Amino acid sequence: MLPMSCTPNPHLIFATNFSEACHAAIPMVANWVDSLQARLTLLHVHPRGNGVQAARALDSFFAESAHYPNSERQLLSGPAATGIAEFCRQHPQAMLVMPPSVRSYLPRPLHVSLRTEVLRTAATPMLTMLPDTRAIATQATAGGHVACWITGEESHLEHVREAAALAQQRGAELHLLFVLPEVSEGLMIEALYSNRPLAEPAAIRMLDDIAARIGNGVRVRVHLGTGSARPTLARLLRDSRANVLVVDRDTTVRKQLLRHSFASALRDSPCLLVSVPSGNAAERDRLPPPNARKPLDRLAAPVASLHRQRFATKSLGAWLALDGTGNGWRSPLPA
Amino acid sequence: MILRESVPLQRLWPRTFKRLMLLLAFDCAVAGLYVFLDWHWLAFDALPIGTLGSALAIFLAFRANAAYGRWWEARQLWGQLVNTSRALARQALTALDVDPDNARHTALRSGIVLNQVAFVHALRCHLRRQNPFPELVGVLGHAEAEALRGYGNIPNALTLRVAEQLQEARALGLIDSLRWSALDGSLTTLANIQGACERIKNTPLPRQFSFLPRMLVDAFCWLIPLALVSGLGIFTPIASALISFTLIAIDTASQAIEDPFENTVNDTPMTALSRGIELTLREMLDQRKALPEVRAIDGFVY
Repeated sequence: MLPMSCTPNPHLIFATNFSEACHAAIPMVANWVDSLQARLTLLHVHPRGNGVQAARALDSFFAESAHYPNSERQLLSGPAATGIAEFCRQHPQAMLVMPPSVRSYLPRPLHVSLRTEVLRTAATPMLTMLPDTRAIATQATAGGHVACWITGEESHLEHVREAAALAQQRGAELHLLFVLPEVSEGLMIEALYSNRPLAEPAAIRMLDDIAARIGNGVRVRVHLGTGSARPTLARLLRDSRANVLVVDRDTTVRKQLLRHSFASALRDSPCLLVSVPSGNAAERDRLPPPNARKPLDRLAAPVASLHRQRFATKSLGAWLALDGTGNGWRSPLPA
Repeated sequence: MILRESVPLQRLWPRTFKRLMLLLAFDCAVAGLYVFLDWHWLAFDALPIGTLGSALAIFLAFRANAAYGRWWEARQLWGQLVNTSRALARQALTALDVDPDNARHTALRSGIVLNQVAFVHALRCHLRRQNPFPELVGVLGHAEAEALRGYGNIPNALTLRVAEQLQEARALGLIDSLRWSALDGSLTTLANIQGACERIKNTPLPRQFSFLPRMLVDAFCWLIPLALVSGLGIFTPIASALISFTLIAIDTASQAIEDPFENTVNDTPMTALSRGIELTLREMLDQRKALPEVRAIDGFVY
């Protein structure tokens, strides 16, 4: 499966319930349509028997998109999560745009997030954001910084491919982010059942290998931080000045006792989130075993990517020299 | 813009709940200490606090008036934009001596009107910090929209383009100096409207007007339970919370309307107005494009 951003005219599916959050997301969607020259589908799934009112509301929502070169409105009836997921299944090359619901600040013990339900089942990447969407409306249409969070627990590299494609499409830099855990007694137990790198050399080796697989024409930077995921990730995102963060779907959705919820580590993310589901098993790019002692067999890197390869290696070497405290990576490169 | 009769209270809740919860906890503490631990020294005389309330009312009214003034000016400016757009289109369609068989003449005439439609959409996007280009491609065509990419201020570039079209019309002998002057006057009005909208957008309400009422509201709300507790006893939190909610709601409501171009429900309904202008101007051009009107959704129109 090609990453959405690699297709000639990417397809954005904007699922809306006409909330204020959806209205607030319109400038961001307009930016994406322009920068990617994307097709736009406004999708609304309404309860059965409410069709006339829903059609009228859909016509009035994001009215300016009636002038967009490739835009359409799609009205479906039935359960919202199922309807959106089914529509996405019919358009596997698209990207679903789904803003969060407006925060009510009232206790909702039985509330099940529609966004999380759709995220869990949709076959396409999902673009979403925090409730405070105003900060992201003014982002540049081109250039900028795309970040990709690698937890080390992923079984595939679809999200890295998507991030690289997006960075290439927008002429942006790609930042690979990795958060190492604090050293504690618990790490010894985690090492028994987890494959993710628990020490800096293993993390560097894994990121180096991932960077080597990224195609030509993308400038890659690597950021490492140590600490708990939520604040460290927020700090790395600030340092990288990323506009967009690409993550694996299994990282975004966390299973709780009776329901699934949005990962708390991403709640402080100051930028847009793209959550990428895994593709077909046959097409997956397997991650290298991060704790492998032997050097990994690598494919011969094309000439155009050698510069980037050296660049990444130099950065990581500089990191070792610069930050011996283990508190994080300080970029040795000019901003 | 909110069209529904009642504003649901849960709309106010996200902006007010932190302050209200803190005050409610304080109210309960004051009432508990006064009633159960006999801390009677907590009770204040209500008279000075009432005087502070009067001063606060003046501040709040002043601030609410200033915020409403900005909101209403924005609405008036967009009303003026509706009128000026219609006037400019009428002038372009009737004041130019166009030969109906000459394609260049008719294209020039309709180009002025379509650029005016594009101006309205571009101004809306400019004020909401939204990318106008996908929309401009639909209105003007790809080549003309792409030619605008080099400009930072797209609506201003569109007024310039209309002025250039008028200059061309004058060079072709389609218009005399007197009529050109009238059309150019309409363009100047458009520039004034744009400038006034930008002034509202870029100049916030003076921070003193925001900070002082907010600080006074907070101070007053903290003092209310101390003034009420001797009379109401254990019921103090109920009365105090109601009074606090009223004042905080007024403060919050005026904050919400002070910026009318922020793409919120409190905005001037620019999307609906610009669609209305487009429908009217296209009717004048006899281009009845199948565009629906923008209606309110759940009582909110954007």
